[in-house]
Amino acid sequence: MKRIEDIEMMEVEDLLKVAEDSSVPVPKGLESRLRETLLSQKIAEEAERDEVPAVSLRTRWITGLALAAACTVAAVFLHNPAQGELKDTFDDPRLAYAEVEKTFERISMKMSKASEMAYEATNEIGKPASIIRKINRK
Amino acid sequence: MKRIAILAAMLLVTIGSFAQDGKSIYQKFSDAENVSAVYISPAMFRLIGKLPEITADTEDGTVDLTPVIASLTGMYVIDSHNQSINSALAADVKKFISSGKYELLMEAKDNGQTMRMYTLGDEKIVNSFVMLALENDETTFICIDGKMNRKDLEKVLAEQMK
Repeated sequence: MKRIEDIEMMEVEDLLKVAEDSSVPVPKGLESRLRETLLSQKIAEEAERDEVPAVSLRTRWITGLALAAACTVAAVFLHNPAQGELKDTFDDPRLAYAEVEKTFERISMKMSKASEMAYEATNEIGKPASIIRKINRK
Repeated sequence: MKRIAILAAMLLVTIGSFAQDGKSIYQKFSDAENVSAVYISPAMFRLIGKLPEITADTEDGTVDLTPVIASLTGMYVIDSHNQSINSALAADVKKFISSGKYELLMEAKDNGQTMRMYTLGDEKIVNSFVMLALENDETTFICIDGKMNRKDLEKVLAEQMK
């Protein structure tokens, strides 16, 4: 029986001759042992591929968070494209003051209109009460 | 894949939570066509505060506007006659209002026209005043920032109403 060292020393042609020689007996269960060995090797390789080291996972999270932060910053700039300082509409404080006064007047005008509407509504609400009072007097 | 979905969701939430303010609304719409816009900066308000004659004439006499003017730090006015941006302007103002702790001061609706006024602050101080008026072909947004004494502001507005 040949030793492993002898087999390793053999040429490929000699190995093929031995393999083709049907007189050499094949050890019992060799095929199943070979299948099991190949299968276990395959499983070991897959497990190694799926296994994620702790450092790698942390790196992935850091990368993910950095990406999210970068996207957030980009979104801020997209959301408010003009971040520069605004320019005053007026250079003269008197004109600016006149505009402020005008704005207050506009606000007051709207408030006044709303108050008028509320007053009219109050009068309308008061009508049924007045009718009821008149009926009660009779 | 799950992580990307989580990150995308976080990003959308973050974008959605960006608060609009008077400045960003002004920047977005002030250059559009058929829009008149006014911005008065804190520096200009400081200059106005140095003017000697800040009073308003009323039937009963004059009202001193100095305390209110001196407390203002910014004023943004957008007056839009541009139908294509009016709804976007109103939507942005609504978003701005809902993102802050604004309180509805007044609302009036008449013939399809709506006017709303909001204030931000407490019983004594108004930090921001916002008015949104939606009329037939015009949308008006006014935002006044500052540290206004509520009583002074109410007094000024009431006197101007007379």
